[in-house]
Amino acid sequence: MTNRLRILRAERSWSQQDLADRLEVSRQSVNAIETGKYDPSLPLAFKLARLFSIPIESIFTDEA
Amino acid sequence: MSCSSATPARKRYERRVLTLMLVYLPTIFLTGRFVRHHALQGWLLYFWSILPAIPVIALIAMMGRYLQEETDEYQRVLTVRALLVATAALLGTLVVDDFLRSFASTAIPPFIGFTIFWLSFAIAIGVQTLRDRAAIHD
Repeated sequence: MTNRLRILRAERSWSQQDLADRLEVSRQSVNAIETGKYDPSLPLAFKLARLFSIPIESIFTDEA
Repeated sequence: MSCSSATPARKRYERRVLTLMLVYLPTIFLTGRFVRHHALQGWLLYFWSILPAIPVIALIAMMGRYLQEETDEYQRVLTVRALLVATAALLGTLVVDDFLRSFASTAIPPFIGFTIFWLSFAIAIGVQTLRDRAAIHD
């Protein structure tokens, strides 16, 4: 699964730590999601979607 | 899971571990003294022999509590992965120990299994943290 998290974050000039604080997770977690090493759970994906005010599928793309 | 990125649940876990260690150290010291200097037998010997295991078992329970309290799901995944690595290392050690007992009439010294478990856990956490740090870019 790929994602546009880095682009969305850059559009808002947020650092990984900024995003991590808003999501109430560690910076390590944001980095793992951004780099595709970890796919977030549905609740966290919904939290991301609410934060960026866009649908989940606008953030994450299923490569299958 | 470095100190700098420690989540609130992780900090609570570390405080509990420290408290348990403060209980464990005098317990193991007292046990050593009682068992060596008194000719204990029967239930008293069993009691003193098992006593130091209680804080150690509590340590494992604290890990379970940490996993329940950790709200950062990625940190939870890292911990569970490390626990799997540690469990595999422990099972491997126990299998080797069983075969040594069966065919060579010898055994791995006491407490090696527990040491291997936590050492493997620490290495697994360390490797994952280093790998994540190498990939961090803002």
